Amino acid sequence: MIVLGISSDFHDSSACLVKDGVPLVTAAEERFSYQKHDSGFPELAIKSCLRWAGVQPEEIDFVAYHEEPVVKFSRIMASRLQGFPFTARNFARTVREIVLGQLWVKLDIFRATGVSADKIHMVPHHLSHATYAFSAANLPRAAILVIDAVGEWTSTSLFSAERGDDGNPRIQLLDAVPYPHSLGMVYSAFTAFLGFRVNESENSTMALASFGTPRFAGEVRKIIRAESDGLYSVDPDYFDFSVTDRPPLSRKFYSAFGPARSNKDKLSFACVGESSPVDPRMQHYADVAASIQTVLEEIVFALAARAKRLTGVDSLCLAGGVALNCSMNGRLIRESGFKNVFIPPDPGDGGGALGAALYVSAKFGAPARKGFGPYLGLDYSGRLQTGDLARLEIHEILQHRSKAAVKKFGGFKSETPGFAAIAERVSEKLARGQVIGWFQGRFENGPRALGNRSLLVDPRNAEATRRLSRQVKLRAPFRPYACSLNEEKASVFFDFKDGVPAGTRWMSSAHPVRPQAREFVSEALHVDGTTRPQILARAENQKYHDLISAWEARSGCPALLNTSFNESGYPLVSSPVDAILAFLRTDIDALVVDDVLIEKV
Amino acid sequence: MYEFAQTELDSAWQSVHALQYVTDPRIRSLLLQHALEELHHSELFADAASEQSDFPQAVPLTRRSPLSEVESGDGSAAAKFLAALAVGENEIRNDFQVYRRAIPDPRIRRLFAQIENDEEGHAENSMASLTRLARENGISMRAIRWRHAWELLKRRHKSLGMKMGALILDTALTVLYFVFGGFGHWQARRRMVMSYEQQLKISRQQYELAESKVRPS
Repeated sequence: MIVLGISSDFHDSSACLVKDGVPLVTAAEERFSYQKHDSGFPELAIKSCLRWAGVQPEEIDFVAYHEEPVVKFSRIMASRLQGFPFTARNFARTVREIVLGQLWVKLDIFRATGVSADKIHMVPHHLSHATYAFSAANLPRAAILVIDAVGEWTSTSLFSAERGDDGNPRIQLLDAVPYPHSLGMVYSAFTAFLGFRVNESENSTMALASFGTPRFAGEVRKIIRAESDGLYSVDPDYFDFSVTDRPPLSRKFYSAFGPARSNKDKLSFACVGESSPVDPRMQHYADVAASIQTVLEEIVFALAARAKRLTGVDSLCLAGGVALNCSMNGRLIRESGFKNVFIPPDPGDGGGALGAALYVSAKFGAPARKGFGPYLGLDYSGRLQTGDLARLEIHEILQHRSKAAVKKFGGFKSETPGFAAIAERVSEKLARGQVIGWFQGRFENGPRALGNRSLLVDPRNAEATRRLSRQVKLRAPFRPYACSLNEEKASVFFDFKDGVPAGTRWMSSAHPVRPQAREFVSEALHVDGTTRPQILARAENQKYHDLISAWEARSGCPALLNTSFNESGYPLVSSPVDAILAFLRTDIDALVVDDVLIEKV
Repeated sequence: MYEFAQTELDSAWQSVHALQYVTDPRIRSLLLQHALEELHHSELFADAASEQSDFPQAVPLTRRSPLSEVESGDGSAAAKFLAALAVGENEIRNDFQVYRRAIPDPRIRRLFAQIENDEEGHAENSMASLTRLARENGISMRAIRWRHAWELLKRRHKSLGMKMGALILDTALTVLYFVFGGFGHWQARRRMVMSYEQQLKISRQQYELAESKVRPS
């Protein structure tokens, strides 16, 4: 039985294929459309997944969609009508967009695949998230917390889940916090207040929080009120979600926190090295960020405690966009009292497609029987040969028109020396302070680069990291980098009491680094002494594990600075051509695409 | 400016998409060069756009749809793509000209002039490649150009039709909003203050309903 899963119409649209309960492939639309967090119908992703898996559209048995558009429409109508008679303009535009587009998603699916409406199933949004997290974790039983901006009507859900003898997950809803009480939306509103892009730069809010003190936590607690039973409520008077050209905040918010930060105001904080003197106005914003982060963590800890109380289990799965908050996740892993805190590789809406597909697959008798990791994207093995580069005639491009569009260099050379030699050569280049584009096999699903679409740098080399930030990633210096290390070396860096926690495998959580190990990852440390590790088992990604070993053998450093292989404002690269474009346009020194090593000369 | 950034990004995407299927090395080189420059233009526009605003704006998204079917990979498909590219480049250059004349900011005018110049080069290069390809494959240039001029006309009419349709629908919805909005407002306020227990009950019903639909027949 083949199920096509689809998510779309909010952000991170995705498609996936599940065959007999086994995820075959999953891919976000942004990887093919070059539009970060693309929310459109994922037609390119569907076509790519089908082509990659060799599945014809007529072989699809069912299609699973990650939410119920009609129920969601009722919520959007209610939120627009609530402001009557001042929301006329927004009402017309929003309703038109939904009536002409999102309500007809079955028609879009039919056009893209030919699957008839009776085979298309709408799975409630949070149930999609919960199924994805529980299936990926492959636990016998767990509590599941889904926290995001909003699903159809709910913004936070608590489930208990267990696997039956037939392998089918039994997921039961225990709590549902209704819109407009939403942790995700409040966090995003603060993100907008701090001058960052909503649904994209919440990680900047989290990073900025470490530079501040939570002196406004009392004010934030007036907005998000903790209830005695572990749930929470939000005071909607602080927000105005009907505006689109400025932060969605009301006068009440501004009188509590002051004016919003303009994106022209420079934040001069830096994770490593010397920060320039900080403008007191910017310190104010860092303090606001620290305050919302503190209150978010308080509320989520209360929710986790409630989950433990209601379910009595010792495993917790997290899903929804808020589960991308790695500072919060790190604290939950260390302090929540759950023995096992699991965060799937793509807890946001991208994972919802796979959750919906697994839900439908299980209902029709084919549940997921094994957990799964992040390497479920497409690969392009054998698609790039050294001859292809010659055929692209890059020299000609460099010599003629495109000088402004590419970084200046003399030319390039490429070869296929075999993996052992590539690992050795890459290690040597890293030791010389070079930036390496590392492209291997199937791309990762979710927002983290985990050794298949990564940019790599020596994590001790300040100059190389600065070049990575300024010439490749255009990354603000207050945002820390992450690192990868092999499982065997985890105890060198971290003080985990019961072995390596599952929540540290895919860069989903931040943890304090032992003082004696900080020199190894000095450029991947946040100002609070934490790092966001990928602790890698060899069975999960053999080539990347071997590269890290080769690097350690050469340098004595057991970790690599690993950041996503993309340029600022673009999604992670998907194909070899995407990688070559980034290689030509930035200061990446060498690029490895599967078994081909390309160097600038 | 964000719209133009998206237009240029779409143009880069078109070239990268075609690059997957085209085998002729000279056309591949042209497409890669084109993609690099269009990405650069997209960034120039996006940077200029963000300079104009104090707050990050929502970036409009474009649904990607290939200009011309290039999947077959043969010379004729490549020729059609190049024809579409040349027509598109000329069209966007004309748009840029109009905006350049209308915009008072000299920096933005210079930006438009620079990009116009590049677009002119793209159109010329595409036409040169197209002419060569047509000659080598025995394809009628005139037929290709007419076909794409016709496509362009249809696209413009479709775009105009959609804008008119949106205006009419918005008007109708606004009328409905003011006629029935009062009742809707009352219902919406009731729904927005729903207790957690009520929400839980509704969500459970929703889940049961969804589950009942997913049953093997």
